[in-house]
Formats: sequence, C-alpha cells, structure tokens
Amino acid sequence: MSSDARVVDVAFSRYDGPRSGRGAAIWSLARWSSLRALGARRGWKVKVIPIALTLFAFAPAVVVLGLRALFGSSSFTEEIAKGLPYSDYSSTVAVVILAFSVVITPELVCPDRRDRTLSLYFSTAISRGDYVLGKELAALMPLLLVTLVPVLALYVGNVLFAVHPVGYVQDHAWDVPRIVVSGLIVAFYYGTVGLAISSLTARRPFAVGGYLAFLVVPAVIGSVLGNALDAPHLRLLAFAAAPIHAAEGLYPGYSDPQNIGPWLWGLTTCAIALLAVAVLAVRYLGEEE
Amino acid sequence: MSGRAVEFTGVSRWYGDTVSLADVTFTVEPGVTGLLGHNGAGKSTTLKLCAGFSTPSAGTVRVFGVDPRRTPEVYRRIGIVPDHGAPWPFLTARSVIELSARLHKVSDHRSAAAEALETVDLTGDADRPVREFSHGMTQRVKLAQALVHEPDLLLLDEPLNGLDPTQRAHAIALLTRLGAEGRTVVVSSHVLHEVERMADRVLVLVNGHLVAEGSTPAIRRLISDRPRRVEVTAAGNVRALARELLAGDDVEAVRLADGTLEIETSNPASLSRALPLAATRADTLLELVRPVGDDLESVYAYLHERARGRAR
Amino acid sequence: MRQSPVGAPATVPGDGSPLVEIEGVTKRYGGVVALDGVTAALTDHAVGLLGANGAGKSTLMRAILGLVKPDTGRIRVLGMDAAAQSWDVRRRLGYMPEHNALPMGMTARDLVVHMGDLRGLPRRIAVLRASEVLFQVGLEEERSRLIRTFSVGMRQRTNLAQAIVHSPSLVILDEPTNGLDPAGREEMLTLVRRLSTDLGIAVLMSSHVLEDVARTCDAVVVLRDGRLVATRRLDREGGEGRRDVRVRITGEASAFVREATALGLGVEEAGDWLLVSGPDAEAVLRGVRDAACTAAVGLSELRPAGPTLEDDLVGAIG
Repeated sequence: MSSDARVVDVAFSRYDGPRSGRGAAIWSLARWSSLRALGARRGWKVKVIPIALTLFAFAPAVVVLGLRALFGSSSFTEEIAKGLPYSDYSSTVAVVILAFSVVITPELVCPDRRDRTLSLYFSTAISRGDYVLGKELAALMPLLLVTLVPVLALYVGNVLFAVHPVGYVQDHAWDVPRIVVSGLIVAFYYGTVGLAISSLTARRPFAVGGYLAFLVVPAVIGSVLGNALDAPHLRLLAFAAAPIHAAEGLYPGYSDPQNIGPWLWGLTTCAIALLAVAVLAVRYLGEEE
Repeated sequence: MSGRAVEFTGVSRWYGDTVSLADVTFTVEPGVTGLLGHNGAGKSTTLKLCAGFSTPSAGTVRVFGVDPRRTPEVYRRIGIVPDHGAPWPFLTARSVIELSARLHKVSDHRSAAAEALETVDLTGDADRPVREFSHGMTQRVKLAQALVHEPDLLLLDEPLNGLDPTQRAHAIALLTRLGAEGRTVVVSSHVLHEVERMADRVLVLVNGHLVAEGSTPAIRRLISDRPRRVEVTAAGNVRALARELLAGDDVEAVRLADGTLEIETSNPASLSRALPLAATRADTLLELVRPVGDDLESVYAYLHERARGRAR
Repeated sequence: MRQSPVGAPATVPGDGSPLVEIEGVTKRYGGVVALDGVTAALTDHAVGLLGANGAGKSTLMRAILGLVKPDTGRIRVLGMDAAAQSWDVRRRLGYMPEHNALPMGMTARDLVVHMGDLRGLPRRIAVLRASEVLFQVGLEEERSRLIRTFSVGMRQRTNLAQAIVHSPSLVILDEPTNGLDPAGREEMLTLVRRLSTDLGIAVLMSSHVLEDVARTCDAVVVLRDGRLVATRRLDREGGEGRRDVRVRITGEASAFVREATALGLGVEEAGDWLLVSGPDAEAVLRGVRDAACTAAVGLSELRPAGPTLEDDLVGAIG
C-alpha cells in the first residue's frame, strides 16, 4: 500500500485555552472603540479629520521648535520659547481639542445605541460598568494625544534646544507634572462631557449639535448677561473653557481680567464633570433588564 | 364585478433599475393559494398589485374582473393582512376592528367586529389598547380587521409571523376553513411545511419570474428530469428485498445504507405495487415506506435551483 | 416519538453532568409572575424551548444568561451559578438574540473578531476562530463587507457566528429562523443541527415552529404561564414499540380494506390515509403486506401511526 498521499481532516476545533479577564475586556473595548473612532478600518475619508486635527494640535510645538532649530541655540530663541509657555498651550489649540472631542465622542457611543449593539454587548461580553469604563478610556486616549503629547513634545524640544539643558530641567522641574495633570484634566473633561451628551441620543448629528450647543450657548449667555448685569462671575458659564482656565491655574502667574480665580474655574470643571459622570451612570447603569 | 378572483397577464413591475416582477401571468382560483419565493422574489409586490396599492409597469392586473386601482368598490371584497404596519396603537382592538368594518360599509359593524374577534380568539382582550399587545396579538388584530367584512379575496403577507405554535395551528385551521368556504385566500409565507398544510395550490416566484403554478403533487409530476425516490425500511433480509426490486423494470437504482433502502424510480405508482410483492418474495416485512423529495420544501428547493440553471 | 414522563431529565450517554440546572426558579415583575417554580436539568445536546408568547421563555433564557436574577431558586450553568457568576457565565455561553443587534458600520469579520476578543480570546486566536466560524456559517467573500449591506439571511448567519466564535459549550438561540426565506431556513436549521452533532456545541433553541424544533433538537421543554409543563425526548428513529401504522394506497383502496379486515386487522379512514391496527406490530406489518398483495394494490406510503409532536404538545403549550 503506497502512502504518498494525505487527506487532512480539517475539523472544527474547540478553543480550551486560557481566556483573559475583565481588565483585558475593558482594554480591548477601549482600544477597539478608539481606533474605530479615529477612522481605523473605515476608509480613508473618515481618517482625514482626526489626522488633520492631530497635526494642528502639534502645530504650535512644531512652529516653536522649528524656529529654534532654524536659529540654533541662543538667548534669542529662548525668548521664542517663552512666547509659548506651557500654560498657554491648551488655550492656543483649544479649538482643535474641542473639535477633536466633538468628532470622536459621538462616534464612540451613538452607533452602539442606534444599532442596539448595546444589548449584544451586555448580554454576551461585557458588563455595563465595564462598558462605560472602556468608553471613557477610549475617549481619553485619543484626547491625550492632543492635550498632553504635543505639550510634552514641546517640553522635550525645549530641553534639547536649551542653552543649558540641565539648568532648564532644574528650573522647569514642576512643569512636567503640571503638563501631565493639565493634559489629563482637559482630556478627561472633554471626553466625559462628550460621552455624556452623546449617550443621550442614538443619532450622531444630534450628539454633535448637542455638544456644540452645550459648549457655546452657556458661554454666550454668561458673557452677555455678565456684561449686562455687571456680574463678572457669570462668565463661569463658559463651560467650554473651564478646564483650560483651571489648568492654567496650576502654573504660576495666572491672571484674569475680571479676577475670577482659578479655583472657581476648577470648581466649575469638577461640577460639570460630575454631572457628566452622573448622566453616564443614569444612561447606562440605570437601565437594568 | 365578477370573474376570477385574481388574474395577472404579462405583468411586470420595476422601480428605477430594480425589476421586481418580470412578465408574470397566472390566475388565482377560490381556495387557499400559497405564494412562495426567496426574499426579493416579488411576493410583496404581487400582493400589493392584487390589493391595488400599485400599478403594473406593464401588463394587466384584474381582481374580480376589474382593475383594482380604478375601481375602489372592489376593496369591499378584499381583506389584507400586511407584513408591516400596526393598527392605530391607542385604540382598543375592538375599536380598530369596528372602524375597519365601518370603512368597508358593513351593515352591522358591531356584531361583525364581535364575530371577527371571536374567530381570532381575541374576545377576552378586545377592549385593551393595541399598544399593549404582543406581536402575536397584533397579528390577530390585523387578521380580524381583514376578515370583518367577509371578503371574497384575502391577501396575507406572512400572517403567522410571531405566533406561537398553538396560535399557528389555529390560524392554519382558520385559513383552511376560509378556503373551503369558497373564498380566495392568497398566503405568502416562508415556512413551507405550514403552507403545504393549508394551501391546495402554490405560486412560486424566483427573481421576479413565475417558475411554477399548481398543486405540489402536480408540479412534482411535471419535474421529469428528477427521478422519484422512495425510502424503505424493512425487517428481514433487506438485501434480498433490494434484489427483488431491482428485477423490476421501473426501478432505476437501489441504495442500501444502514439497513434502509433508497430506491430511485421513474414510476412511483408502479413501484408502490411492486413493493408488497417483492417483500413477500424476499420474506421481509415493510416497516416504513416514505417518498423522499415530494414535499413542498424539496419541490421548492428544486425549482429555485433549476431557475439558476443548476438542477440537482 | 417516544415520550418520557414529565419532569424526568433526559440523559446523553456517556455524559454525566447537566449543562443547565434550574432549581425552583421564580421571578416576578411587579404583579406578573414570569417564572413560577421552574425546575429542570438540561443534559441533551440540543434542547428546544417551547411556549406561548408570554409563557416565560425569554425570562428563562435571560436568567440562564445571568441577566436576570431569580427571586427564589437558582440556576447553575456549566457548573457556575448564573446569578453570582453572571459575567463568567455570559462569557462562556453563546447567545444569538432574536432581533439583530449587529453594528451596521462594521464588517462581519471585524465584528466576529471583536466579539471573540471581548470574550477573552487572545488576539491571534480570535482572528483564527473568526475565520473558521465565518466559514462554517457560510459567509465567504461577504465577510469583508459592511453588515449594513447584508441581507436578512446574511445577518442571521453573522449573528450565529458571533455567538459561537469563542467556543462556547452552550449556545442559546432565540428564533434563529426569523425572517429567513425557505432556502435560508433550510441552511440555518442544518447549521443549528450541526452545532450539536458535529461541532460539539450544545444548543438551547427557542422557536415557535415545531417542525424546526423537531428537526434540530433531541429534547423539548415546554413552558406555560411561567411553569414547566412538559419535557420530552424526541425520538428520531421512531418505530419501536409502535404498533399501528398508516398507509396510502395506490389502486382500489376498498379492495385493500376488505383483505385487511379479513385478516383480522382494524382499518380506519383518516383523510388520505388508512389507519391500520392489529394485535401486535408484526401482525400489522404482515397483514398490510399480504393484504396489499392479495388486493393487488400498491403501498405508496407506510408510516408508524401515533401522535405527532404537534398533537402532543399543542395542548401543553396552551
């Protein structure tokens, strides 16, 4: 009997190996959602805006470092660096951060609601709380890309281009934690608020509109009323700017024309963030069975 | 307004670039007729044309001899149970059905509605608002709405959808009875063994074309390029039985597998007579004789594949 | 179809432990009793769940999945307590919901990989298994298309694929043939049968079409008003222990009736069929054969007589 032929039985196999736990599931959801929101696996058109916005977020850092690279290390270029202090970075790219958040947060949660994928997730893969956690992470990570990474990049660049790098690091020792904390505050705020507003609707256009309205309308009202009634504290209604002002307060030399202290902004930021978390809790955790 | 209940002549229907029906010709007689086809084959379009909800792009549709689009009075003789669409949710079931009766100008709409509710077994829930109803109950409301004016032509699109086994059995019995009363009932459904129970005849659509019309056995007989198969189980020397059967002229092939014989024949009637004789000669007892592939599901599958040029 | 006494759990040879054990489960929603003291042990590889609308089927399925915590009693699934370890249970079971909850903007492949990923499979394994299950359910080139572009049949198959990608030991299917055309129904039922016979995945299927259940399941469980009212093993072979038969005659039926009666058999007309009864099975079969020969008629169909699944259960379902 010759045996120079084989027939292979490609049977359907079972997988009985190790399975990862809750943490991995949350991380998996976060990674998957954020990549899709940024346009992964969805064609190049969807990727254009996030990529463009990211580039814009890096632009100030690129400009400053570019100039320093052109003109070499000198006290003149140190002055250029001082032109863009870390405290001002977020406000410089505030529009970009806002736009980025408005683009990705509805994408993270609205389709799941619209296609009823939520029920599929909850009945087979992930618990409600873990879902919210995963989506928070999914919002946070890309946002950090525009709130934290550019500023860190600027810092590193400044160190490298400094006349006395070691001295620079010593002088600006506190700036690194400040940069990190501000980046986190701003990212967490916009991410959570965006998720909360998007969780209220199944349709992305409504979420986008709602988010923009939330950010713009109170600010306008606050500004107009504040002037009319001569009540400068009404400017705290500028919810869009709250975390940025609060973050600025971390740095020395904070000044505000109408003397609204950074801790007031910090309070506003916390209040809105807590409200957003409450909305998320109600929308996702409150709907049992 | 008389004549055949439904008559399609050379009917085609297209929407833009989509062809839903292509040159379809058939008539529907009293009794229950099943309307079969894959998703997108043109079944809903056919029902819509019967009901007068749309006009053919080519050809003519006649319901009781008239064009349903042009002769509104014919609606009094038609009852429709559409696939989608729910009756007004805030009304009670009774109100919905009474409303339907009045729209169809039934003389005593209250008692007609009560009767219709009884027929579909909703008398107990008749005074609850429809929005509280489950899918199965809503289906029954739609059915009652369509029956209340005692139509001569009933058009039903997937009427058993969402009904549980008991409700299904009742609905099948009801439709069979309506057909026996002389009404014309056209039922579109995907669950073929249920269609087989209620319908005397079927219309089979594939890709907008009508590929078969008639009763299942009659259609089966016309499919001559497929041999008829019969499965036989016997106690005793099964191989001997196989030998005896092969001796006959009309047995084309015999397969023996796991103690069961699968016989291919060109003449099932002749085989049926040969079986007891062959069993006696082989000293076996026939335990099971089952024609294979003659049921509606097999016939439908065959027609569908044949339409693609792939007969199996 | 052989019937076991109500309540006796069905057993599978060679397999000891039940897949699902339900003990005295009660669940109320406000004033409505959804489940009332249900006790059952599901050991067969394919079990059908039958019941009228509102009988408690979906509540029971959700309780097995750990999505609903019973008021009293408990459910053990694959050895785990469904209420206490609901997260683990849900990850080890597969669930194909009745209504599509598939994300329209993803491709079938991406969704199935994602689901495998979320349920704990390592990435590479998730990709491999997604490829395999998509092939098993019959989605080939279509898998890289967006689910939005899928027909009903393709969506149902994707639905099934996501339910089995992570190698569950048990999958719960809720009306899997909903909306499918005859070809789609046929394919889906074949697939479901294969799950338990070839692919080693136990099945709990809820359906309104008795024929579908008879074709794919080894046992059925019937709920009514929240109570378990019947369990049956479905005997696929049929025949043993059955005595009477029904036949269809080609030729002169009356001649057959005469001959059969002369042989001492009882013959009754039932529509197109003749019901033949006798003292014992062999007598009946022999009598039928001999009467057919003597009367020179043909036997175009011969089956054991007896209640069909429908006759048996429709009363129980209510």
